[in-house]
Amino acid sequence: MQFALTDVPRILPEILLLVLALLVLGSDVFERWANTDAARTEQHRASASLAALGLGMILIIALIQSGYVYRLPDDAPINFLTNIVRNLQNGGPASELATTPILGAFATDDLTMIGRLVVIAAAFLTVLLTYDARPTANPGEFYTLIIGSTLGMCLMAGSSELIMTFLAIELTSIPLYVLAGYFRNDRQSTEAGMKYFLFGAMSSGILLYGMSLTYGYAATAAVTQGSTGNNLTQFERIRELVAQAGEPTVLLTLGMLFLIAGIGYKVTVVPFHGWSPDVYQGAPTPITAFIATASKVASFILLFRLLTTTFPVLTGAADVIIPVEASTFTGWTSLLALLAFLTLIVGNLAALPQTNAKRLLAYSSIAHAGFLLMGLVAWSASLAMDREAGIASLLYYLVAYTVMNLGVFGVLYVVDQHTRSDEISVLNGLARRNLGLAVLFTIFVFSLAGIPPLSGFFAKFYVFMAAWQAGAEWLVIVGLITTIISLYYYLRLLRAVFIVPPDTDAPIPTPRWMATSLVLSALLVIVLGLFPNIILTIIDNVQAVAGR
Amino acid sequence: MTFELMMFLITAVVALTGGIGMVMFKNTVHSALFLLLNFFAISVLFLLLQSPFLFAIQLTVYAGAIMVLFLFVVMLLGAERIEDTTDKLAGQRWLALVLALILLIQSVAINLITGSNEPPMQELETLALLSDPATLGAELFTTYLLPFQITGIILLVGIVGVVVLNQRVRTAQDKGQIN
Repeated sequence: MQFALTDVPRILPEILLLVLALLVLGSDVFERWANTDAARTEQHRASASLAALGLGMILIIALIQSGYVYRLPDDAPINFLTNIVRNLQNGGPASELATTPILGAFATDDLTMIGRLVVIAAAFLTVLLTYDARPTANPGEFYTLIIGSTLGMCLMAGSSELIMTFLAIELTSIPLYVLAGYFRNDRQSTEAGMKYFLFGAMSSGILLYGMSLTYGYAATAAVTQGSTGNNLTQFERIRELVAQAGEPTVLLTLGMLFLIAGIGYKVTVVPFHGWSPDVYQGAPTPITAFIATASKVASFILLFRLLTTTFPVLTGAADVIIPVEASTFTGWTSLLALLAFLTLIVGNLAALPQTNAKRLLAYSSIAHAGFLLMGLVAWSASLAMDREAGIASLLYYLVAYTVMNLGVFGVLYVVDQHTRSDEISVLNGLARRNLGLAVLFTIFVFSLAGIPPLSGFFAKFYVFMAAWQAGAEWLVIVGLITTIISLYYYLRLLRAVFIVPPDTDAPIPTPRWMATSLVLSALLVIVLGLFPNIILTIIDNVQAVAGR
Repeated sequence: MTFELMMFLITAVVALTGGIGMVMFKNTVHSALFLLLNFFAISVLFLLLQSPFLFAIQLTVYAGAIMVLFLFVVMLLGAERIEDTTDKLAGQRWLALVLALILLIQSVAINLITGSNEPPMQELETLALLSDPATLGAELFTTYLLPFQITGIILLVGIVGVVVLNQRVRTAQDKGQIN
């Protein structure tokens, strides 16, 4: 298998991200280098605007390529513009090229495309948030790292091979370690960077071990079946080998367990969540938003692709508790159901006593990972239709989760810029100090809590419905109970904003581009909630590929 | 005694000398040089196993790059002579010795049980082809092109990260926060 010229437009968004990263890194040289505040602000804004413009353009190109907004009809007139669009869309998920991954390693189907769009949009909103911020040291490098990490996430969303998966995860994580510890003179930030790095290194080790076991199984099966070839790391190939070998062995199951654990660290599922509150609290707030949203989206898509293409043999029931029999605990769906249960309980209960807003939201984000897992649990359904409902609900949840978390961390960042603190108490009387910001905050928090008609409500609703259909009724009941528990701590945030009187009445200014980013997120939260069909029709495309 | 066996014995003695010398010597620079000797010997072992690519990699990466790094760090830190301090973990050496023994027994046992050193299944020609540097290079630039390129990007990002984290503090505002 060779890399063909027609593969270039298929990975165009990734290539453009790499070019943008290099541009941002290099353009820093042409800025004024001085130690005055004005010069540093200028340098910071130059890098930020270049990164934001670039990411915005890549987002538009990816949208055109996807064909979700506009699909060029076959009989369109031939001119310069339509040729560009046609060439782009020929590399998009709708073309027949997309049915086979590039070199067997990188799929460019609808699942990848949706992942790309969400991740690039998240990066764009994050960069907008930082535009008006106090200048960071080395802005060029700061934005290069953000874009590099975005590139890694796009690759994660599309990787369909073990080596590629590992490299994509590393490319995502390494910049995030640096970014989490970016404020070297702030002890919490340094701690966050260090902790993230150590936990990440350990999870990479676990992941690699799982990969080596899985590869070992595949290679053994290939030798006994007399087939050769160097494609034994591809998800599809492993699935074939497993299917031909008959009964899956302990070795394969162990490999799968380690793979789930390794990716579980990235998506903060409960036994592997220990790092996230400290990292979320210590990292610079926009980076926290980025880690909490984009990297989780990419990891969940990767987890979905890995489990459903490689281990469909190991799928089982969604029950783990009722009825109480050992034999009902089968396959990865049961395991994920159990993890979802733990994640929901621990995430929501641990959020209750928090006094730091970022820490509280970190636990809330852990709890949301539990809801997201329910979408994966729905894969245990016997009907293909119900399984498709599971993936659709998972993707819808991911999109909604991304916009509302970017928004809520964004509001915290605006307040943090002014008050230099992220305790809940600094939110006191926000309604009196900046009503617009308080309203935006309310929208995001209501959406997180799952109050209709915001997108957070529909996300939870679809996930519950998919899980119920798949036979995980007990999990849905747990989900409902924990949702009610979560209302308590979300309303605590709103109580601070609206009821508790502030120490001072000094208004909190919202700089222009931060406000733009927040308003964009809020609009998405509302529109996706009022008209969920806009995005559900797009998500329906995924099922044709993934829902075999 | 065949030529191969003779070569193996000589190389093995050299490798063992390097390994033991590295552990025994007090001067860190001497230890590093003995480690270098060990690396060279092992690269010759790879050549005896008919894998010229591993031989070249062992020489360039281990004996070349990593050793230079070791020596740089040792000399920069001025840590040539580390005085003999007591072990922080009591009984560390004995534990290490026992574990090494277990490992040795294990490998000998596996060798005795599974029996042979013959290559599995495939003919020698295919194996020789697989270990051929040209084949490996072609694979890297065709089948594994994407992972290969991404490795490059990871290295770039890693370098940027290291540079950022090691920059001197520039501004007065940041200075106020140090410790």
